[in-house]
Amino acid sequence: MSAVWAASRAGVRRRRLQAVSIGVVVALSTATLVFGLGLLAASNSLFDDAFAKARGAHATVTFDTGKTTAGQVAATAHASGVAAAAGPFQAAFLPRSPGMGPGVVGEDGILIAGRAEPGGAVDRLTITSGRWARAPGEVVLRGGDAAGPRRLGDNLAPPGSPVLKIVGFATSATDGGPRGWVTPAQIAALRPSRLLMAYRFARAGDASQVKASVAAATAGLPMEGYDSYTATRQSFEENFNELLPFVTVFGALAMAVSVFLIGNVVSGAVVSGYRRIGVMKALGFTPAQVTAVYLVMIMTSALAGCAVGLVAGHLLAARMTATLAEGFELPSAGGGGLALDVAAGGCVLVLVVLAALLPAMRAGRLPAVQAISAGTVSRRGRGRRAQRWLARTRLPVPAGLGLSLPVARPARTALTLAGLCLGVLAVTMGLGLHQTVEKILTADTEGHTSVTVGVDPHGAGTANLSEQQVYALLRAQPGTAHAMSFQPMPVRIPGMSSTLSAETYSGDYAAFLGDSIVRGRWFTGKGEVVTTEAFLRLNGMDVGDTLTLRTGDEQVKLRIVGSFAHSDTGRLMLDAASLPGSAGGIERRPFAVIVTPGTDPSAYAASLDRAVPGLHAEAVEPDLGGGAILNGLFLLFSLLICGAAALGVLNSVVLSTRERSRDLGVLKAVGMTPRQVVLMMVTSMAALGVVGGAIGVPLGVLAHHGVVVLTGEVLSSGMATSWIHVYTWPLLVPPACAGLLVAVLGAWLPAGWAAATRTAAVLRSE
Amino acid sequence: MRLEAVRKVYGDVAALDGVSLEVRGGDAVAVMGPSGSGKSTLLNMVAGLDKPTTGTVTVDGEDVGAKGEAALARFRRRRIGMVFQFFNLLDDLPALENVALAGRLVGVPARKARARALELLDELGIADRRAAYPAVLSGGERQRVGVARALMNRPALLLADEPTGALDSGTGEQVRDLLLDLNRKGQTVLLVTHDQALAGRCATRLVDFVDGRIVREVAQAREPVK
Repeated sequence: MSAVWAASRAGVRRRRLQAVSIGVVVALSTATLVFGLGLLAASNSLFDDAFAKARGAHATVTFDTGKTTAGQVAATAHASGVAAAAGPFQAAFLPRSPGMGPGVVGEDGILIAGRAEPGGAVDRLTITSGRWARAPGEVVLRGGDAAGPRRLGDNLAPPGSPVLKIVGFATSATDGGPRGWVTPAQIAALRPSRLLMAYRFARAGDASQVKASVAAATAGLPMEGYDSYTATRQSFEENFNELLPFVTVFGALAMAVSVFLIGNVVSGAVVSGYRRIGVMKALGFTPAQVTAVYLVMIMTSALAGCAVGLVAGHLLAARMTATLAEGFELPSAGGGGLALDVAAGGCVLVLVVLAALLPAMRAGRLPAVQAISAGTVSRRGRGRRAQRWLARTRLPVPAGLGLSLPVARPARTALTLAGLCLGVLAVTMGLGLHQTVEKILTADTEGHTSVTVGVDPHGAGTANLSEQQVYALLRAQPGTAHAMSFQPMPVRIPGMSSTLSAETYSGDYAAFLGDSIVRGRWFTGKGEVVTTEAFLRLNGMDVGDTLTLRTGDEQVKLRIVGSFAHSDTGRLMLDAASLPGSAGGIERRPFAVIVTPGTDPSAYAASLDRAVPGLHAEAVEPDLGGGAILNGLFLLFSLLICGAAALGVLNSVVLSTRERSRDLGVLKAVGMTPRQVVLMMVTSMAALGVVGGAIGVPLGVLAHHGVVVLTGEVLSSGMATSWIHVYTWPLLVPPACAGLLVAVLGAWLPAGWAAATRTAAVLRSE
Repeated sequence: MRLEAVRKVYGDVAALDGVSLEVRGGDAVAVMGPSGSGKSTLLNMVAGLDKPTTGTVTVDGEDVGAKGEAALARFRRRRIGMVFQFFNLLDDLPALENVALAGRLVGVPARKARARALELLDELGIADRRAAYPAVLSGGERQRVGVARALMNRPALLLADEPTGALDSGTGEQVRDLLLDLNRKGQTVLLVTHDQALAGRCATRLVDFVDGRIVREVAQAREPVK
């Protein structure tokens, strides 16, 4: 055993570059695997973990201070079935003012609660930036400071109330409840009219249990209402499930690249050591000892790399999970668990052992002389025809020789090429998914809206305007390109108990509807309806069918002319003229405007506010927060996968350089310049990069289509054709070049080493 | 070719210790000496594969030691032809392409380079083996291909490092005749060899090396061909 150990240690010392290379590859592969698995695991339980960690409230109950006292409400904390409670917190409703801006206020204003500190037994808040409110005049808002237009240090100036300075942002695992917090002393000055009580119950598995627990806890106390965490969880899951297929596919891709990379590097290391293996056998090492030497050599580097990769992958997953949680305004629950990390590390090490064992055992069985000669590259017949043909072409010598190098080692070339293909595939798919996500996020009518217009409840003027009068005002306003009004109306299908939401549109709505059609077309007038794809699937209906809707006492028959991509089974869209009772003035039907190109929506809104005192116009800020997270994920995965592919290329060139050191010496002796040597080695990999691009791009397009369609199927939402076919020729150019770029970058460094080979030393070693 | 007070030190060991030597056009000089005496180092200095620690090496008027790597590569292409003990042919190319490669590196078009290579192989008597790969050539054939490659760009100086060292006596004899013939046609040759027969047959001057120094330099009449 000591001989094996001594030979292994000597091998690691002698081949430091190879040892480092294996370590780096294993580290990268482990990090990618741990990151992907950690992210997947954390994703599956992101809400539950965050909710448990923050001791989120199963229900937040609102009481009217005019009907209940703080003492009565506080006593409910000890009611049967209540596991923990926090409160009562006094809460005040601050009315909206134009200065409060979008993203902070609700339709009418903002609910602020008085709370002494962010911790407690229930609904522990996580401060994402700034600090907790310590003095009157300070407010902490829900969310992150990047989530809305408000920043730390900004002021809220609600009408008739003191000015509040934003000193912090905090997230809560409980979606219901206040949108901001001030000190208990400050809330008294804001004329609180409500008491909020947050509960954790012993039984809160579903909505009905929460309802029963709330009823038991409040025990007849009059309450205004309550927010259940189940609604929040359902809403979160609906949003988050869209992420999972993407994360899964990228994770699987990254793992596939890791497998190829480890196979390439580790088996390459053993194959390039055949000569040494032959010498060891000549010295008297048994086949088992030879195999053991190589396993120990490789595992030494692999263990070190694995440890580094575990730490890096865990930290990366934790960071990404935190970013995801932040994107959904949840406190972070950390990355994957320790058991998962250990399992991922174990998988990588098993892979390394397998990749090393097969060629090492083969080498161990080879006769010594054969093992020695197997280490040289001169294997007869391997791609000779191609090499000969390339030598006869008019290509410059370095290019011709470079192009012939990959055919000498077909297995290694295949592994390197596979890595490059997967890298290009990842980039192609990532770019496509980026496009798809952008389209999905802007698909709703809101995504096409520049400015929303409604009644200003606190405005000085009157807004008792008819729909036609508002249209006339908007059309007269400079900068108006399109204007429409909309209103969701509850409708029923006769014979069914559930209520549907029919979104009725009037005016110039065609420009707002976007490109989310899965089947058929958008409605264009009276008598037509477009449903969600999920609705059609759930009810077994198709485009062309007739849908009967009941609103109030009236019943209408509509023809389904199309379906749009959405997972909500209760959404319909139709012309306002199709539904009785949907017409009305601006008080009932808010308006939306698309401004002409070059018009600033904010300036337009301000101008409209000034022109019509009774109206309140607000520029729409695109909410691309979720898209930013997804795009960040795509970018990170693409970079990891491309980095791994580049390492595969680097490894191939290192091995090729080592094997061909004599040839390189000869070429330099007959007059090849260092630059030509670099060109030759880079060309050898650039050729693979080009092939990788040619194969990887179509595969990436197909993978993108598959993933997007699959996502639509998983969510039952369908996918609009325009969300699937996102690729244009200019968009395909970068991924097509990615293979070449990765190959050239990966080959450049070892090609430089090859060019610096000392010719005299190499030739003398013969 | 001229070496002036050339000294080459590896660590604490002087492989060449103040060597001065001149080889004129048409000369055939054989450098002899025991292993480790500095013969191959001398050849590497002349070929620009290594640089002297001190002193100057001039070939065809060019200071070899003053050149950068790229310039040295261009210098070797044009001025130097090298023949190696173990042939150093590229295993993946057939004989003709091995020879033509040297021409292609100088920028000769592929067709012309192959024509010239074929002409050389023909002169050396192995044109019929032009399509064979090195692995299937005999030692003598490989060395002839090596010589043809060295002559491809009509070098000012042909360097041969133990050209018969890896050959059996019969094949060695053929290579001796080949080098003699080349020199008689005007090719300047610098040989490093242990082979007394080769030195006696081909060289017009003998240089003996011991411990990195020239200990003897004599002109000689070539031995007659048997």
